[in-house]
Amino acid sequence: MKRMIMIHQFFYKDLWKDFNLYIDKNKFTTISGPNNCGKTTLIRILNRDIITDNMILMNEIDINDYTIQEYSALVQCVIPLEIIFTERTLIEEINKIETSLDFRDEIIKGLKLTSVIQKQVKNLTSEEIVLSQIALALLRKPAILLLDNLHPYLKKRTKEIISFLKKYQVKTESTIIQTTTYLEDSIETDYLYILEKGQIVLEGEPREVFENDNRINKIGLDLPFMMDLSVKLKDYDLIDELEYDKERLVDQIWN
Amino acid sequence: MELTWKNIPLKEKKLTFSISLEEINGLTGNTVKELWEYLTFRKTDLDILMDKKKLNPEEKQEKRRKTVYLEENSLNKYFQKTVYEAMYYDIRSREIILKDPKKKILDSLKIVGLPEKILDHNLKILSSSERALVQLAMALLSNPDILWIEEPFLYLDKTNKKKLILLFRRMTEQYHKTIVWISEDVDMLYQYTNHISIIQNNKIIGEGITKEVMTQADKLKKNKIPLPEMVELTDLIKAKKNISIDYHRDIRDIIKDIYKHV
Repeated sequence: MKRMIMIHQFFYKDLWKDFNLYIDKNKFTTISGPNNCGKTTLIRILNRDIITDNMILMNEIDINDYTIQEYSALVQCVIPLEIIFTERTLIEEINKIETSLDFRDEIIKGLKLTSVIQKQVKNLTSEEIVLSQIALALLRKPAILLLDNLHPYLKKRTKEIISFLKKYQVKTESTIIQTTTYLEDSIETDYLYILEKGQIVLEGEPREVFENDNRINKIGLDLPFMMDLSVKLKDYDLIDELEYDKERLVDQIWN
Repeated sequence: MELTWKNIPLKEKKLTFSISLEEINGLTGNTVKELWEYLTFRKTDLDILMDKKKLNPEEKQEKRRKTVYLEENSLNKYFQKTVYEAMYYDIRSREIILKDPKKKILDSLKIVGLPEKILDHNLKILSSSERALVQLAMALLSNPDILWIEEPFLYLDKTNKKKLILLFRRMTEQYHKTIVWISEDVDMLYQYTNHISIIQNNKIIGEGITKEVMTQADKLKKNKIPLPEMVELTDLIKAKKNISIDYHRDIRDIIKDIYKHV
């Protein structure tokens, strides 16, 4: 598997000492961890908001060797509410981006922004602003999309948006990296890293990582209810296989 | 003890709403924002009763002074550079009278578990959890009797959530404060609040002891209120397997109960 991002022997303030992280190409990767473990800082470093002396390879080239135009064509980043709108409405912002009408409509429809695009940007809710940020980033067709902690802004819609992003990622063969403290946001993604005190302490396919419930709890993260229940029932030999669907779980317990 | 707002005018309807004093109350639904001016005693042209006794205008004013409504992301409105400057500005703009503002600021930070060094931090570079906790520290500067707080746990990991729940419990049990936790997260509300109100489309769908209100599945579903996952699972077990397990608020109790019936 080709690496899209390689961070090797990374040093940064008190956060990271000899930190290594490798993100696969054409995959949707989640990076999780407790508060203040450096998730947002990592996104900012990858977005070149924070410049460090370390060498970070993006598509096998040092990120500092890209020009600004090259980098923004390669990488788009969504840090919630960090956006300056220059137009009056969202559709006017969208129309500044050169793209096909079909693709534009697909993104607007997929993010359910149809009723929002004519609104004045000053009247957008936080959720609508974040969805607009995602739309504008996707419309630029980046090879790498960075998403920082969407859940607090998208709340109940997070699952639906992650699902849409996963389909987008597969279709466009792009690479998506998201950070979150909500492990349920990682279920549909390909790979999960959990950070603690500057190191990767757990990694793997999300459902495999979730089996380490005690470790996850000790790190200071919550497993979503059904995952937590399923793992514990398996530990007590009440079920043989992990199951996150309620109906199927009930059938398995009393089969 | 209860605090009741009688006949809050909401479009064509009137709503009577109560909270349980010195407890952690939950509040959810799509009508909460419309009520805030009444709930924070900014609008008082209606009967407000404390334990069935009407408050007079002076008592309403006093309640207003001792009530804080903490909006989600309220730190965004501060233009100050550092945390200290924002907290000090808050004390002055809210006209909080303090002998020693610096000490109060430090005490508030300590209560929410933030270190003193955060005072020098730029507001813009705070992490999301630090922002949430600084906001709470600011709300506590005036030592409110009633704290309305929107989505306090959104940005917090499990460790910080636990600390905050313990803080809320201490505030209500030891210091006789009233917390009203406004959230869409029905699972958290179910687990950790004592009393809940659900206000949907300008109507009270349910109000009372949290477990009693949130286990009324038919009523909640009819009004498009999501059920807590634990309640949903319990109802599913009853419906599918005809096995009656109790409604629990802790996952370990559910597992014990399932184990008994397997």
